Amino acid sequence: MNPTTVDKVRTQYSSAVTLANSVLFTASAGSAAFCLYCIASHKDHLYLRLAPAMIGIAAPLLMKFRPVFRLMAAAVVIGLGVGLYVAQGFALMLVDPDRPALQALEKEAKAARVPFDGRTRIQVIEDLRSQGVAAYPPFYPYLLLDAPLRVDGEPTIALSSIANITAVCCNDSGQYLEYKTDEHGFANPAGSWSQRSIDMALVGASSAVGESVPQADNLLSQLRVRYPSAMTVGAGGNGPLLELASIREYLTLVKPKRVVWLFAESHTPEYLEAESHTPALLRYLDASYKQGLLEKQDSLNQAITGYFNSGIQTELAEEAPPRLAKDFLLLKTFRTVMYYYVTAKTAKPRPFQFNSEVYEQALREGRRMVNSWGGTVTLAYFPDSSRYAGICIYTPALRQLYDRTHEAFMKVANKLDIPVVDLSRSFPDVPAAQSAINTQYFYPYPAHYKPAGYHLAGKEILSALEKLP
Amino acid sequence: MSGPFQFLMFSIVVILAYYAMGSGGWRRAVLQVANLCFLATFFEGVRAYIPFAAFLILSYAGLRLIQWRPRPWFVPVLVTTIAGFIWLKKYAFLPSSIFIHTVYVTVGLSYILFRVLHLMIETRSGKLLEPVGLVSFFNYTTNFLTLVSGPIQMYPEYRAAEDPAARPRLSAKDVAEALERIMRGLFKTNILSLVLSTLQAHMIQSATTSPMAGVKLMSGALMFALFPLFIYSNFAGYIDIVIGVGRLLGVTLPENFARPFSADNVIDFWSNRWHITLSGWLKTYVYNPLLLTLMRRFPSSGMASASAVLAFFVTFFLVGVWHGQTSEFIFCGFLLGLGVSVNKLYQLLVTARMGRKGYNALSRNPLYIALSRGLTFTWMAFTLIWFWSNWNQLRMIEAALGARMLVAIWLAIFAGSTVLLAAWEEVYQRIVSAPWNGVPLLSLSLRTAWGTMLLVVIVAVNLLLNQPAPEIVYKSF
Repeated sequence: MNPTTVDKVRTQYSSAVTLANSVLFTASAGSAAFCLYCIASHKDHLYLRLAPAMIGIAAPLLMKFRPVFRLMAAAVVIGLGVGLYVAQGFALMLVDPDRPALQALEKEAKAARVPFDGRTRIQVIEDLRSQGVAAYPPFYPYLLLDAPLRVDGEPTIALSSIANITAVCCNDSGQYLEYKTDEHGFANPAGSWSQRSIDMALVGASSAVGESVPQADNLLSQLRVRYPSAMTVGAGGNGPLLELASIREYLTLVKPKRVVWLFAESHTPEYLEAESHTPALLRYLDASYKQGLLEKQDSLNQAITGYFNSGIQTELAEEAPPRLAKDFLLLKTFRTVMYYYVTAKTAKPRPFQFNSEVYEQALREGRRMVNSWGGTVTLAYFPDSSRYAGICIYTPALRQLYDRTHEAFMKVANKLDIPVVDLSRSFPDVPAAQSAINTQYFYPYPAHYKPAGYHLAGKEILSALEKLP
Repeated sequence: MSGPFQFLMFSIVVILAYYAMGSGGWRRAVLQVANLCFLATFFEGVRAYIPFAAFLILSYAGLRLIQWRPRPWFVPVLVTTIAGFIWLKKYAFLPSSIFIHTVYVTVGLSYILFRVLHLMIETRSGKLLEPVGLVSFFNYTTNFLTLVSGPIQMYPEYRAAEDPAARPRLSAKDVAEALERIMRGLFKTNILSLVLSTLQAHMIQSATTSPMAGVKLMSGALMFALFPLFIYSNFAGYIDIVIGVGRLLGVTLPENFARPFSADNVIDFWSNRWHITLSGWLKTYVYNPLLLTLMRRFPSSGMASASAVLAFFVTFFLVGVWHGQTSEFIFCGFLLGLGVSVNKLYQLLVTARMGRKGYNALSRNPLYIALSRGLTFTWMAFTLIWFWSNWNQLRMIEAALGARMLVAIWLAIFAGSTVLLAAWEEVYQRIVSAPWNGVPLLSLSLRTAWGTMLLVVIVAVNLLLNQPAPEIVYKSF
């Protein structure tokens, strides 16, 4: 090597070492800042604090080493950083955490010859709005238990959606369920509340709304064949205390002769757990407590509309370029997908939980109210599709869990001597090899019943009610 | 063993076992056991191996016959071996009633045929210095590194590397380079080829269903243009892994690819850049003898050019036919043969018109090179259509796009590939001639950064996609 070349190499080497020092310093400072940001903004995940903290400490320590070592360390840091952002690029291009679910949905829709609607719910709502339709998601009361809406200045637990709008529900079959809400925001035909006498009312969660089958196939429509004035006060995500609240706030107005109170095997115990930690709902166990929602319908409409519109704006803002750029810098897609991956790999079986004491109190109080106007209560036990071998996410452990739930439910019902329509015995309970028979009732993914499932449930309930006094 | 990851896992076990053994004899035994175990990974029952084993045993018997008395046995053995191969591979032009109708193993059979024919021809010509022993024959023909998709290593090179004691000790640099090669391979097979095949599937869908002309044009162009890139990632990636693993075992395997999309003519593409060992084999055992025979038969100087064109056509027609047994592959072979023979004819005509100097000057013109490169890519993309589709699919695509749109799509591919490949070449040349390449430490730093990035991307994207990489396409040939 001639002296000029040696000088040139020396200069390049020295610049590279300076660059390596800068990379290590930047990595350290950036990681420390990110670590502090995560601590300050109370990020839940420990790795978000620990990983940057480790880099923040390790990088300055590397400065103590020889320049060659620093060069290599900086190369590894650069490789790691670039690699993570390239992976984020791939994730953005190719990975959609919802994709497997959407693909399963599309496959099912194709098999059932249902035109597949691949839009998101917010896109459906936006499209309907552009056609002048007042479209909103249905209101799920349980979502705001911790932070109730303020109606006329008072914190209020709303129990229904906005009145007289088009509610866009979930998509289980390939098509979104859309229905018109009644004058109190429930999934009933308009004018239901002005009927002279009501034969029957459904109380429950999403199954009582008919999620997510065409209205002609839902449970209410099956019951209306025999009880034409039947109506529902159900709302998605309701547990026993919200259901009790619906009876007190709304059914006292129409005093139905029969109340069919649904119990969802998979979700009711879970919702009950959350509700039993909500003092405002526990107050409904007191016979004299009432929010007076019937009289506040206009204010409720206003409050829920405001809540939805701000939610939709927030969701749309997530798609805006500044937010997308920020998400990219913070590797959001990458972290989200990895989170799903790790969660799926480390998921523990759901523990058994059923607060039978609160459930019993809710049932007792509900029955007292219904009996007070001369009506009767019948319970309907809605099994989860995954209780049956070979269906959905069935596992023997899950089946065991559902059997314990069933046992606990029956114990309470028997204690209170309330009649039960036990639908867990209505669907074929067959080994996995014969599970094809159940695919007519259930989707292969976690979802509500198929139309045939609701038809069978309706038939069983009607038949049981006929035998009751 | 279908995926590159599984192959790599298997190789790691072999490498660990290999280096755990102290002596050369034990190490050779490890490789022999590895070959057997690798074959066993395709296990579909003992009976499924009988045709495969019979082909190997009969080939070895034929080889011994040629060694014993070359003159009377060479042609019958050669013909019987090729016929046996065609029968086992169930070529469509044979009546199906003569085939074995149970499932049996044929993995790597094409590559085994090339090695067996090479041994037979070289034995006949007396170029092999020593007779091929049974163990060496088995290890050479079923070497786990090269069984599935090559590269086609010649026996003398294999023999030289067979003795583990003779292999050089690996330095840290060798190990680093081998690991870098393996990572590059994994990136191609597990990330790039997965991404490209996914994108191509989307493009087929959108080109054939979209009502918008612009979308049809763009998707149609990508649908055809992505496949050569996919098959390159898939095949060259696997070869990278194989070469990297080979290097860790102290074996130097021949290169099979040399930046194929930089080729500025079809002959260059096939002869020097794509599946090089196959082209080399065909050049040695098909093209050269055929050309020689034709020139002897038609000795006039005017016929020399025509003989070369014909020899090119036959050789590359055989390349297409080798890839598969259906009419699609035969047509593909026709297009391959047509491409190289027209290319040769063009070279001859232009040289005749412009003179060698003029043609050389033209070949150095950057615009001419860029256009030629684009045209070569476009022709390859066109030829390879018959690799990924069949006549029914092609009719559907034709019906969905229409003749005008198809013309527009191919013009777009030509224009796009001309511009993009020229840009890529420019970038590549700048990287190669960058100042840091002369400074080992800086170059090492960059390669460390590059290797780390590849590792992160491979691990992260594999976890993110959570789906297996496409199978190695050339495994089925």
